[in-house]
Amino acid sequence: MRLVLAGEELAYPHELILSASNRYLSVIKGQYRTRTKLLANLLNFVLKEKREKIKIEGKEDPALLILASLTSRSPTSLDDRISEYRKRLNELMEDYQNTQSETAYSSFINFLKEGIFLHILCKEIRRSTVFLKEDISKFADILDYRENNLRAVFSAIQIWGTQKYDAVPYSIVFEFTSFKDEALREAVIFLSYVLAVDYPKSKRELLVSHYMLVRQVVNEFKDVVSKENLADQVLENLFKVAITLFFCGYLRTLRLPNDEKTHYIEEIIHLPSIEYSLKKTFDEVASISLPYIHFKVPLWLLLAIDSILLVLHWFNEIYLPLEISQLGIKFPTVNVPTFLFFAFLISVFMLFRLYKLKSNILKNFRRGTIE
Amino acid sequence: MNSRKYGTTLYVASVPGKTIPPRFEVRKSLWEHFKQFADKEGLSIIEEHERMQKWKQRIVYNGTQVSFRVMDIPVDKLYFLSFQPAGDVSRWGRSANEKVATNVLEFCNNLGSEITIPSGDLVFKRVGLSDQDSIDISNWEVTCPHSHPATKSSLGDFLRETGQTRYENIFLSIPKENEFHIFTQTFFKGIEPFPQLRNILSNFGLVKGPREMMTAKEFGEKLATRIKEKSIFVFLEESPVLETWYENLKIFFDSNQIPTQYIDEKTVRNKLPRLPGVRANLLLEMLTKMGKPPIILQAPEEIFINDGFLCLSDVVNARQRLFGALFTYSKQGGGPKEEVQIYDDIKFETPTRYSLEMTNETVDLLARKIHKLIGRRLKIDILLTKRWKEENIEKLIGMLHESKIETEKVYYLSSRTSRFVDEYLQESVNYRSCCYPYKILGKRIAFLKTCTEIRIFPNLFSLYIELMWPKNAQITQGDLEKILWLVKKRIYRIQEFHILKNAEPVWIFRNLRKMYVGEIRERLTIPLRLLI
Repeated sequence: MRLVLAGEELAYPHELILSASNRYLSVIKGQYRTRTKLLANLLNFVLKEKREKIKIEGKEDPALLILASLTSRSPTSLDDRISEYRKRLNELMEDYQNTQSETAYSSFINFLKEGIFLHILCKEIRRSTVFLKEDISKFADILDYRENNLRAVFSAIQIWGTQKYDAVPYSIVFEFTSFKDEALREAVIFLSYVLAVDYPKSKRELLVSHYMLVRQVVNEFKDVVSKENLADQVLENLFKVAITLFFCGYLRTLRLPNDEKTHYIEEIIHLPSIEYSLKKTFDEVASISLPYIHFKVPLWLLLAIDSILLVLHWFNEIYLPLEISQLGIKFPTVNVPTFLFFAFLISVFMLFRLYKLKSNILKNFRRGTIE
Repeated sequence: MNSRKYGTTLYVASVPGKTIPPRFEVRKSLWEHFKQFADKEGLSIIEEHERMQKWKQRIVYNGTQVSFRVMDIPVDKLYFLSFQPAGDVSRWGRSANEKVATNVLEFCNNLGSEITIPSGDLVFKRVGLSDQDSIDISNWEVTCPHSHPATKSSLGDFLRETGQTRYENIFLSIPKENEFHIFTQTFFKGIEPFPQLRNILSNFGLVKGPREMMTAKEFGEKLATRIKEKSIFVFLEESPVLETWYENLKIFFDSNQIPTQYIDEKTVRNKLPRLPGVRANLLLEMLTKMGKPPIILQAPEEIFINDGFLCLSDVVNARQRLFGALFTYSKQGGGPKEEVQIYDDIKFETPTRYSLEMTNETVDLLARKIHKLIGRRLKIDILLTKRWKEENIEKLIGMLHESKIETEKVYYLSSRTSRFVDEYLQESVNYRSCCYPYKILGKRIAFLKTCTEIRIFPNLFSLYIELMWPKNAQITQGDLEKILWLVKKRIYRIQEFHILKNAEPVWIFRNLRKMYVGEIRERLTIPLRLLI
């Protein structure tokens, strides 16, 4: 189903959640992988607390079993599944340690990354954890230089909910800002959000990373959500992103009473976003495009040019015709109004941008993104 | 609903006694029977000495030479008798193949549905295929991972759309960020068919060259990894030059991770501009070699509980005697890399054309090499291209188990064993359909008809599949579905989809036999995608 709000398709992250949720029935009843069906079921469960029993093919995959257990009525089964997952992870780690082969390493890393999303799900839905403290330090010894993103995510998981420090360690902030690993995207969207709530001193930096990624996923799925016959992999990513965004409150806040919503915006979104938007607007207020040329002029430069033009006009008015003969510059009478004309044009342009500033910021708030 | 039956030229006999009569005796007895039948029907026979201890024994029916083969299956106490057309088969096109198949079927109709011979009191009964025993793959999925966004559709719909749009749906799913480096020694700028090839390829990426063919090796060695990842070397020449080049140099590029494509200049002149199917084949194959397959056939996940297939085969030709192991994943996104390894220190004997033997020490060494190739604990099926000794199989599985690689089943595949023809494609509704009939005989043997179109001689016959291990297991439709997926996995040969006959790993080893691998130290590892 295509959702159109305020004249824009998928203008807000919450539309992505609803759009993913609308695919629930077609996925559950259609020919899709078990993993895709389980994620659709899980989204439906977190959104509406409704669940369907899904038959699991390939019962040996502990990750699938955890996904299934999260929606099951029996709370005890999840702990068993988690132990199976840990057992399998340790086996893969052993395989790598014994063979030192690239294939074994890749299998271990892929399984580990899958576990991070499962860890977030288990903790949010059932207050259980997939990774223990000692596991994390054990894995950290194995990870190679390519896995800095993964290291940062593990560090973030360790401090999530502890309020151990005044601010989030810089290594996490740095890795989240320059984050690249697609397999960990949902984890970083979520962790940057929860850590921003836990650690007010790092709120601004973490929320910048958070909004950047939210914007990225919204853009990525903008053209996707309306399409039929999506591949399982795309749907799985869509459901994972939708669940993550739901955990971050993108759907719930819209249902809050007005005073609560204001409080939420002020506390969580408002300040860093406003600061960032204003800074960006003042830095890059004017964008001039010509064929083959594209550059942006900061506001301070426009103000400076405006002032120079007015000064030149004033000089012309008093010392007409202006001549600085030593430099060989002459301004004939006919150019006098030109300075005033250009100064006037720039002023109008700046006023227009300032007028649009308010509506731009509001639009970006509603989208959950920052421009 | 009534199930339709289709006659074949295969007969099966159960051995009544405890001892199985020797094959030469059964064959001799059968030949006597056929000679009497030929006398009665006024058919001519051919009986001449072919080569060492081999006799050419044929009956001529309606101008078609009919040859027969006899095979015993001691485990199930069965004897197979199969009839097939014979002659100058490489010259036969579609209509000639259809005609000879019809003649052999007619011959069997006249011969009768039962043949009794005195040797071992064997009664051969004619076998039929049926609609009920068939695998319908029209609802398997085809995904286009590089279209934006990645989409999927059922195989039936995909093939229908491909036919209706004349392969346009495939051209649209091909990523465009590619570099085609052309090498030739004759067809330089302005000399046809280079401009034709350039025009076709330029719709899908940058065409660079043409460069001197002799400089390809040096060029490849110097190519930056960033460029190498999106490049393919295309060799455009006359067929004999390409064959030599393929035999001697393909392995050099493969081991340097450079995908190569060899195009006969006649194909570019006569087929590429005119036939979109040939164009689609070429582009799909090139992109798959580059690691960006535009289309992938996914089998339903319930078929695959295991992680993948290990195919073991000899790589023997006039210039070399090597052994190869190939690992392929069966699950979507199953693993990081699919590789083929070739070893020169695995010593083996081939007592017959279809069997292979090793010493215990060699099996031990092979198991260690496989452990290194796979590198972690997995559950696999093993495919063999030759029949192995039972002790060798047991030993290998035991050794792999010690390395925590669990083997579920071991299959032997052959496209030449007990070849017979059938009536299945005489029904127009079955022609180019996605329903593949099979016949399970005894506990461990099945014939799977993998071609639903006839173009060349081998398309007439079914694939022979034998479950070699576990000993007490029975072959099922599920096993055949797995093999069928391995066959149709080569969907990158889209124009030939309905005539794809052999499993991809078997095909790869057949290709490897055409190359001269040269001297290797212990092992040579090549990504599987480069050898398709």
